[in-house]
Order: sequence, then structure tokens, then C-alpha cells
Amino acid sequence: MGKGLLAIAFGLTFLSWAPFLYGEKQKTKPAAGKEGPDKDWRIRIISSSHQDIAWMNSPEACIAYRDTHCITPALEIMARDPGYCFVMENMLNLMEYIERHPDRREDIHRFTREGRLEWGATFNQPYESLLSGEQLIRGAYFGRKWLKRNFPGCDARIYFNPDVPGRALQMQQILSKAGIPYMVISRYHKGFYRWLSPDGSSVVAYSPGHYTNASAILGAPPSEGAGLLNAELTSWEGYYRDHRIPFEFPLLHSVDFSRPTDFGPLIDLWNGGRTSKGPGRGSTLNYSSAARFFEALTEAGPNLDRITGERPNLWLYIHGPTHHWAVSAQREAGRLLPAAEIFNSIAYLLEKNPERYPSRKMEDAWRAAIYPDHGWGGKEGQITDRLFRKKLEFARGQGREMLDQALSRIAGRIDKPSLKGFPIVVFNSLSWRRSDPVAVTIPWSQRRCQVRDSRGKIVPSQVHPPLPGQEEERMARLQFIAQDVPGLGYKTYYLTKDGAATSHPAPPARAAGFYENTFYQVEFAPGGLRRIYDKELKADLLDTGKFLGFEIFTLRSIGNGAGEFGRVQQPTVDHFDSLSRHKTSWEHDPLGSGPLQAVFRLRKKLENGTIEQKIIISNKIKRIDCEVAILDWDGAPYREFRIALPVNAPGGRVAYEVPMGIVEVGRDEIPGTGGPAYGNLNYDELCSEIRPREVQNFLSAWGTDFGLTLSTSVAVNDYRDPAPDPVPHPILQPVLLASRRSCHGEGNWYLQEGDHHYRFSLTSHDPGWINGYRLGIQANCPLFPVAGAPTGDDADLPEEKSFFEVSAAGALISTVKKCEDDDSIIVRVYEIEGKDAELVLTPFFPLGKAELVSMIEEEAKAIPCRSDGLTMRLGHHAIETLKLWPRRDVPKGHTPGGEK
Amino acid sequence: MKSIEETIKGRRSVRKYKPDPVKDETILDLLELATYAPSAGLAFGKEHPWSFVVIKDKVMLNRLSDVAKAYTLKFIENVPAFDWFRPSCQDPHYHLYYHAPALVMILGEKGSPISLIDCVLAAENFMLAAHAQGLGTCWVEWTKQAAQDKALMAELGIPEGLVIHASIVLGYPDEIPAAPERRPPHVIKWAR
Repeated sequence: MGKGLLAIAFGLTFLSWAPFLYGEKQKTKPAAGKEGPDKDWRIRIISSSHQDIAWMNSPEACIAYRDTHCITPALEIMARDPGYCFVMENMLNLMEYIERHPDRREDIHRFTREGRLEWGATFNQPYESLLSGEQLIRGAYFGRKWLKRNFPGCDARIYFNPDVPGRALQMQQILSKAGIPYMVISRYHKGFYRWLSPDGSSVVAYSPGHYTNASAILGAPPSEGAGLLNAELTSWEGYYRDHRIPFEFPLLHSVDFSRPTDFGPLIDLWNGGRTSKGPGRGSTLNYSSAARFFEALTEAGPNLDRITGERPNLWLYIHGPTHHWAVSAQREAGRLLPAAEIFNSIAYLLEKNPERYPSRKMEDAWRAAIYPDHGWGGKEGQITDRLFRKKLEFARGQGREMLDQALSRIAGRIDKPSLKGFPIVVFNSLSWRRSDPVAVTIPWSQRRCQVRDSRGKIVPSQVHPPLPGQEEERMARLQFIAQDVPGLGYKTYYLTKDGAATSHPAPPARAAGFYENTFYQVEFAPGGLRRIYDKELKADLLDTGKFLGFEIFTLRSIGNGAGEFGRVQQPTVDHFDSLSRHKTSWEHDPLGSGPLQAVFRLRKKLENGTIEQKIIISNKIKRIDCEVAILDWDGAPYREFRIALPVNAPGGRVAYEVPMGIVEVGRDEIPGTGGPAYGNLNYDELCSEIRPREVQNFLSAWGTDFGLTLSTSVAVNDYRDPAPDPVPHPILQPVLLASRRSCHGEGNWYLQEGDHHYRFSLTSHDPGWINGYRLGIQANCPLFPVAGAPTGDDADLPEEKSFFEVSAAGALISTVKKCEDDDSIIVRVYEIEGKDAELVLTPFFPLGKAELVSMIEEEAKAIPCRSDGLTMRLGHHAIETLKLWPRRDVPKGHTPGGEK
Repeated sequence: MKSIEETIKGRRSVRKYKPDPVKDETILDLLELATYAPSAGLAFGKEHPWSFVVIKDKVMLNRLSDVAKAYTLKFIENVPAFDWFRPSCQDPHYHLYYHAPALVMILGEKGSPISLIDCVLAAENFMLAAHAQGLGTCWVEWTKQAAQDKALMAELGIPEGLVIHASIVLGYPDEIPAAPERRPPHVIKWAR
């Protein structure tokens, strides 16, 4: 997706460049008057083709184009020219091609094994920080691992993502630990870099400034091209010398959907100068794979500039705000699929039957969950966007289904004495013990029952009216707080009809526009919350001088989301509107309120839709939820909706969750700017200043007195006042919706007419994100209840259990899964607090052997373990993948690794 | 959701539409359902037994209507059986697509009877699915006459080798005609 520029370039590729296509060779003329390079450069033409999944046209049209205009011609060229190399950037391109041409498998296998045909080591080219950590890692599973498995003897070692001006903090660690040591990016300062993740692992990166830049050389007539190449080499000479880089130079030939091209005339001209006095003067010009270039570059141990940090993505309006339904499905799939993996693995281990692990279904769901790349919209974008959304909804649906099935199977194995009542088993997919609300649907007849824990203690509960559509089914929704549910485990509760008196405390204080419970005093105002006072911390959490708490407001939002701009296209206050400007009033909801929570509602019809808002103040846990609906949104172009949470911390600090890590604003971004790309396009804003940001589950803001953490249901969130004369305190702002248009000349609108639903949760704590991150994550990852599961004959599990216990505070388990290659169990753990830790992992099964493996479950190294678990050092920010062999599964001949 | 029987029996050929546009997303949903029709082409390994052209552009719909009417007039000069349609084609106010907000063409391989059957089956799926979602459709056969205008076909992106097998207008019904009475199935023989 070269955006506006490349919509034109696409046409030009096949017009002005047509004479240079293979078979129609360039005319060779000496470069009169050009002086050759002073050094013996080895120049490598990396003949590639930038490929979005679609964007240039509908996905089907692009698949056909890739076949007929890129891959098939490349195979033909390679068959007749043994020196020719060609790169396709995504493994998805190979998957599509093999499906269309199973007959070409042998050719592809041969050329790939020879290293002449190269495939990007990841599935596609995503917006990195939009995806969850596990989703990012699966890009390498469906990339390098897929290739190695399906084309034995072949490998892919380079991650291509040259189009997206954004990099995730932990991407380099993921790549590095997946055996992908190199990365081709662009839209960043020209150069070669050692790009690190905060744990210290790194990849070598190359940025040509913009991926199309070498086209000026390669697209020119040979003599002119040789002159330009000379000038280019000269301009790099000092850089190479300063960085002790061997004189290896890459000429990346990559334009959107560019075809394999014969640069023979330029090569002949240049190399002819080796012995005569041609422009090459001792330098050589040849085709090369990117891997060979990087190997040659790194062999001599160059002194590369080191970069660490998040590069906040400039192209973020194109996903969350403009494709809200699809991206919501992607985020939910990112939470449901690991949960499904975890509990299906546990079910399989309990049943000792690997056949019941839904490997194929899991694979299909994961592939769908990462299918969309960065090329939303574009020509026939309505087709592309729909395909992306369908894939993501499929992944989410499969995740739910597989999770439900696994939970039912496990619940059936729990010994739940029927005398204790109607069982509700509550599962926790996160790796720490937690207390959170749970809602289950129960028969209406049981609505007066008590909820008790396994020891018979009454648990506070509340019955809600049936959900819309369930009124006639005589069902009710029962809510209670599940206390201390073990991490990666479960806890059993019972509904009893014993009629014991419910000892609910007196309802908390409520007056007009005011509510108070154990944790907070909340004051309502038209359009939002005037005040939230934390009674424990004795702090006013909000500064509502400009915006109220949870106030919805709307801005003018002109732009396309992704395109040839140097800074994020910010919204403006033209036609600004906010709920506090209207006569809106909060109404207490007596049906939704009870001992667990108080609910207040607001509804206001605005010009282009109706806003419904619900504030839920929990009485049992320290949390305030805000549910928002934009109903009947009419799709007015270029509007944006946000919700504000103005934090009373002038000059306060802000941090937010990224895939498997935390970014503190102003501290954890890469230094400096993105730099010049081409022409006048310059990413001239300090990366630390770029906003809004891609956020996983939460943002935190804090000052000296308190910290506030907001769980968000949307991908894109801001933290600074967007209006003129910005206030000095952070305003956390989920971006709900933006109706923009694709930058493609024939692109679609992203209007999203219809109903949109959101949910946010607030909690407060001592200063620092570290005191709120678990609550920030868990508010987005609900507990999963299973009601009424029968107790099977083989039920031998206790009423409460953790299947995997983790000791270290900052160590979070991102997934537990069945190994791709055998029946062992993979556990992935990452350190989030930035501290070295001693990890004690205690699985529920006797451990026979433990290994540390790569991110794609290869390169196993035995590590010491005991029968009841293992202890290992987990470095700060590290992501580690462990392979565990239950004692019974240790293959014959294996000695349990280092068992004490 | 309507039962399959209600859907089949309730579908009508709609010739009066509201101006309300049909969302792209809705049309894409219907096209997907169309591709679940029985298909010999698919069974024989064809990647795309059907191709689709969707026209929502009013100017293009008007132009296509005019072109199709003009070619239809020529066609019926030699086919007296269609004389009844002549006045409509001569009427400048008559719109071949009833001012519906969208037209969907289903294209198949030229000269392939299998392709024709595939496309017609897909068209039936499309029309039933549309009806199930509260949309009206009408098969407009005369669009095929417009295929003689090569420039127009090229403008619509229809490549050589593909022909229009089905042309269906789509929109929200403003008037739903009554169903003509269906006689009981005329079974000629029931061999037991």
C-alpha cells in the first residue's frame, strides 16, 4: 500500500516502466562522463515486489495478479537465468500460489532451497502494535515455520514490512527468537541498524528511506541509472566507513505490485566496466536475495547504530477508528484464542488424548485472526474490508466455540457434590489469581437462590432482568463476584435454595447526582461525571474544567488513516460538540442496580446518531465501568467520536500496554524522528510526540498522589487534550469512531453506519502503571463461567485449582498450547515489569522434561526441571517459550533434562 | 428468520423501488450466498465459476438502460413475438431497471452451457437471499442486449470471454406485486 503516491505508481509501473520488463531489455549505452565509485562495492539488486493482500484491487483480483504478473513470470526468469533472484514479501503469497498451482511446487521448492526465490519470514505485514503478542508470534508460525514444514530444506530469515511507519516494542525480540535475524523496513531514516527490544535481543534492519527509492536508479535507462548509482554509492561511502560496514550495497527494487524485472542491461553495463573503464570500475552489480545481502553485511561485525523502543504507528486511523467492528473482532479473537488454547491443552492433558485437541480448527482460527494486513480499503476496498472483517469474526467465533467446548469438558471432570447445589464453575484464563464479576444465565425459577462458594459461604450476588430477546425463555442473569479465582484455573460456586437470609449491607448512599460506596464518591453532571473521589487514596481523580469524566465529544476528522503524510492527520474542533453542551441527565437504573453495583444511564440524540451511556459503579471491587453505544450512526463523512477521561495529574505521566510490554510516553519510544522518506515526505515529528497510540488493553496516567488505569475496548487512544489551548493534565481518550476515506483514488469510504458498542473500566491505585496493569488487563479479559455442568463418572478434580502456577510477579503466561510438532506442551511466558525475575512454574502434571525452545517451537535446549515444576531466570522484558514433557510422554531414549 | 418455504413462496419480481441505497456490505453478503449455489464448474476445479459486476452509479444505470433499450428495439424488429415491449423501449421515461438503486450482473464463460447453469443457479440463490433480507429483485433479461456495446462492456470491466448470464436489479421494494397463482406441479409421469 503505497497510498496515494503508489496508486499512481501502479499505473506508471506498467506504462513508463513497461520497456524494462523482462524480455524487453534496456538499451545499453556507456555512462559518458560519469566517474565510477572509489570503492570496490558489491551491489546487490534485490528484486522484489511490495504486496498488500489487496488495496490495489479486490483480494481475488490481486491474488490472480500476483500469480500471473509476479510469481509465474519470476519462475520463468529463474528457469532461464541462473543468476536471477526474486523476493515475495509474505508467506501468504506462497500459500495462495501453491493453492492455484500445485503443479509448480517442485520448481518453487528448488528455487527456494537454492536461495534464489525468497519469501518473507512472516505471514503478512501487519500493523504490529494493533495485534496481540500471540498474534504477532503467529505471524512467524505461518511464516518461517510453515515454510520449513511444507518445503523441507528451505528457510525464510527476513521480515519485510517496509510500508508501515510503525514498529512494536517487542517485535525484534519476537523475530529474533523465531530465528528471523533480519528486517527490511522503510519510511525511516536511510541506514542499517541493530534494532533491539528492551530485553536486549535484536535484529539487523535495513531502511532505504522509502522502499521505492531505488526505482529512480533501476527504472532509468541504464546509462542514466549507472550515473545515479554512482552518486548513490558516493553518498553512502562515509556512512559505511563510519559504521565499519563492508561495501555491500542493496538496491531494493520494490514498488507496489511491481513485476519481476530484467536489469541485465544495467548489470552488463556496470560490470563491463570492471575490466575496462566503465562506470563500475571494479565494483560488481548482481542479483541477490535479501538473505545473502544481510549475511554479507553482518559477517564483518559492523558497528551499527542501535535503536530501541516503540515507533508509534502513524497509520492507525485506518484500523480501529475506521473499521471498528472488524478490529473489535480481532482484539477479542486475540484474547479468546489463547484462552481456547490454554483450556483445550488442559483438557487434552486431563483426558490423556491428544486427538481431542482441535489442532486443525485452532490453526484455521489463528490464521484468520491475523489475516488482515496493513492494506485496509483501497480499490474495491468494500470487498477487502468485508473479507478482513469476516476472517476476524470467524476467528472470534471459533475461539468462543473451542473455549466453550474445552471448559465444558474440564467442568465435567470436577467433583461437584450435587448436595451443594447447582454448580457454576468459574474459569480464569489469566495467569494470576483474581477477583472479578461473573454473569451467568439461569432459569428464572432459580432467581431467588443464593450463591455459595465451595465452603458454603454466601457470596454477594444480584439478579438482573433477562437480556433483550430472552424474556420469553424465562431466564434471568445472575451476577456475583468470584473471589480469588486461581490463575489459569477455576473455582466452583453453587446456587442453593436453602432460603438462608441474605445479609446484604444497606445500599450505599445515593442522592440526586451523587453516589458513594466504599471506594468512591461519584458526582454526576449533564453529559458526564463531575467528580470521582477515591476515598482510600483521598484523591480527586478528575480535572473536569474542560471535559467531564467519560464525556463523549465529536470532532471534524478529515483524512484517510494511512497515506503519504508525515504526521498523523489530526482531527480539528470544527463543528465540535460534546454531551455536556446538551441538556442530558443521568437516570438511576433500579433494575440494573443492587448490592453489587449501581447503574446510571444517559441517552441523547445528536445530529448523526444517538448516544447511550451507562455508568456502572461496582460496590465490591474498586472499579467503575462505562458502557457506550452510538446508535443509528448515519455515517456522516469526516466525523470522529471520542470519550474523555481528564486525569487530575498536571504534567502527569502516561503509559500504555503494547504487545507483551508497556510503553511509557516520552520514555520508551525510539529516539528522534522517522526522518525523510522521499521527495517532500518527511516524518519530522519526534516519535515520542506522535499520538494517538495503538493500545492493547489499558492506559495508565499518574501524578504524585495516585494512578488511574483505564481499560479500553478500542485500539486507538489518545492522552493529550486535542482542543486549542491544551490543558496540562492527561486526558485519556479512546477514539471511538472516525468516518474517513481510503487514500486510494478509487477507494471506499469508511463510514460504518449502524450501531457501535464500547466498554471501558476505570480503577485507581498508587502512582505508577505497575500498580494497575493487572486490573487493566483483567477488565478486558472476563472470567468464563460454566453453569450446570454435570459431574462425570471420571470426575477427580477438586472444586478449586490452578493448572499452572507462576511465582514471579511480573511473569505473565500468554499461552499454553499443544506443541505443533509432537504431543508436548508449550508454555509462553513474558516479563512485563522490566525486572529480572526468578520464575517458578508449577504445572498440574508431573514433569518429565523441560526445554527452552524458539518462538516457533524449535531449537530445543534442555533446562533443569523437577517433577513438580521448574525454576529459571526470566530476564527483564523477556519472552520465553518452554516446551514441557509430561512424565508419561518423554520419548524413549530421552533423559529427562537435568532433573534434580 | 423466514423459513425456506416462506422465503421461496414470498419472493416476488419487484418493479417499483424506494430510492434508499443498498449497503455494499449487504450486497457482498448476498454475493457470498450466491456462490453457495450448486456448481458444476466448481466441481470441475474452476476457481471462479461466476464473476459479478455491481452497479450502483445512477448515471451508469441510466446509460445502461438506454443502451439496452436501443439494442432491444433493434432486436425485436425481427422478432414480432416481442412487439409488446416496443412501446416501453420507445418511451424515454421507461427505465429498464425501475430506478432501482443497484444492478448485479452474473457473468460466466461464453459458450459454456455449464457456466450458464451455474450462473442461473447462483442468481436464484441471490434473489432468495435478497428477499430473506427484505430486499426486492427482478431479473432483467434485456441487459444482455447491451453487451453489443463493446465500449460500454469494457467500461464495466467485463473481459472478452465472459458474458452476462444474469442481470438482477436490487433494492428496497416500494410495492410488492401479488403472486400469480401457481398450479399444482404438472407431473407427466411418476415411474414407480
